[in-house]
Amino acid sequence: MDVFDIYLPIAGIEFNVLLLLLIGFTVGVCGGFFGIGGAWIVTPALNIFGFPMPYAIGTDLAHMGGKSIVSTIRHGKFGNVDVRLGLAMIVGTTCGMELGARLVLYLERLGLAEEYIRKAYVVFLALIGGYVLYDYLTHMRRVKAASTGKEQPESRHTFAQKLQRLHLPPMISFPASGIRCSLWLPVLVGLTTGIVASVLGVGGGFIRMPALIYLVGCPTLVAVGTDLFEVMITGAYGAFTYGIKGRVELIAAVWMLLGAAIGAQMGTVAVKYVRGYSIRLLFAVTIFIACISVLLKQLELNVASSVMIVSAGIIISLVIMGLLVRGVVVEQRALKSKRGGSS
Amino acid sequence: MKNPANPGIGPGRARRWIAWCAGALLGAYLLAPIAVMAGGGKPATRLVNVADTRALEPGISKFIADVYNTNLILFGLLVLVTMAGMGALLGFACDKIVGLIGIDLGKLSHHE
Repeated sequence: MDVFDIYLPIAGIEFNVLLLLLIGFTVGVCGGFFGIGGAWIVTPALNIFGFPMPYAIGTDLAHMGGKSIVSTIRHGKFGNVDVRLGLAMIVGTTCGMELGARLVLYLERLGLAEEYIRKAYVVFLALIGGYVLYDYLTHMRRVKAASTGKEQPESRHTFAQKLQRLHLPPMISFPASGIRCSLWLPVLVGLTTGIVASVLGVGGGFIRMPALIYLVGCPTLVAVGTDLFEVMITGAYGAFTYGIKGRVELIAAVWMLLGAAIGAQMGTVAVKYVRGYSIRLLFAVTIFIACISVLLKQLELNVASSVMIVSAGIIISLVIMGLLVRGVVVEQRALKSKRGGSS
Repeated sequence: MKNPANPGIGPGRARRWIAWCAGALLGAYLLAPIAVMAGGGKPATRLVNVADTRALEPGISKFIADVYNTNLILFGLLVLVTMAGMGALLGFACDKIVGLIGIDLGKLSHHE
């Protein structure tokens, strides 16, 4: 395998190209499917294979910008990107991240940052995963009740629909999402997710995606595409800002992006063959795994935590690939039988 | 003048839409740096930003390492341009390849 080792002059290490391609591919599949950046998979993955941590973060962010462009192009063509909504949210997100950073500094001055942030991270992951899973199970129960002919419970307005009804000018339409609401709703949701992301020290894709579904009221696929649009903008600037800090190993980022581009395309196309609720279920599972990984880190089992998150990333991307292959085979068979029937 | 054949898109509405987009883009341009810097963590103060180029043959790796050693702002721009350019190029290339496989890549209905 030495033949695949390349020298990375900036990080000052030798690293296996196949490993970079594999890490990029894995996170590309997950990112394109869930609409997340995937830093929580890449950074520990690079680190456990010997990549110095300061360069792991910057290199991850650099390749994330490029990878998100690949996914956003495809999601855009699928009609899953609400540019208006993305731009409205990014204003709130950026302000929120600044406020969050100040809150962290304040907590640091009080000497509480480390303790509170780690606990908040675990609680947040558990809450998000728990709610998404609960929503999925509720939905499945309703579908089952409907299929068995039992009387369906009266459909109530969701929390997002209630928020959409708040008449706070300017009211604005988001045609790609099929919603009309106050401009303040996405701005405030962006602000809140920005604060949380900044306090937790993460990019925030895993918070924004469910927030777009449950607070703004986007369809799942639009939430995925619009979140990737935001990741693309922040990732591009992140590539620059980490670059000028000298924390990007560009050669490694290029190899990772090659793998990630293929993975992102596959992950993005896979959303075509699954229902929105299936994406939510897989997302909930992923979030729970991330939650356990953070817990292991808190117990100072760093290697176990990293191994777990990397293995989970590989397994989840394999599941997504399986869904893609199954979907393509079914589609091709249907096309063939259609052609056979018409001839 | 509003086109009576196409009442949906008047010049006033188009102007408002363009002004809104321009304002939002300007806002994003001004605010995105704050967001990323806020999420960026502590600067690498203990790092010595020097790439070891002694063992490198002339080529892309040497060029990148030289830029890194001489000017970090230029290196930052190089990272940005490379990632954005490669992302766009690979995005369109992969799109074409997937289209050639025969997968229908039209607009999706947003079923839940």
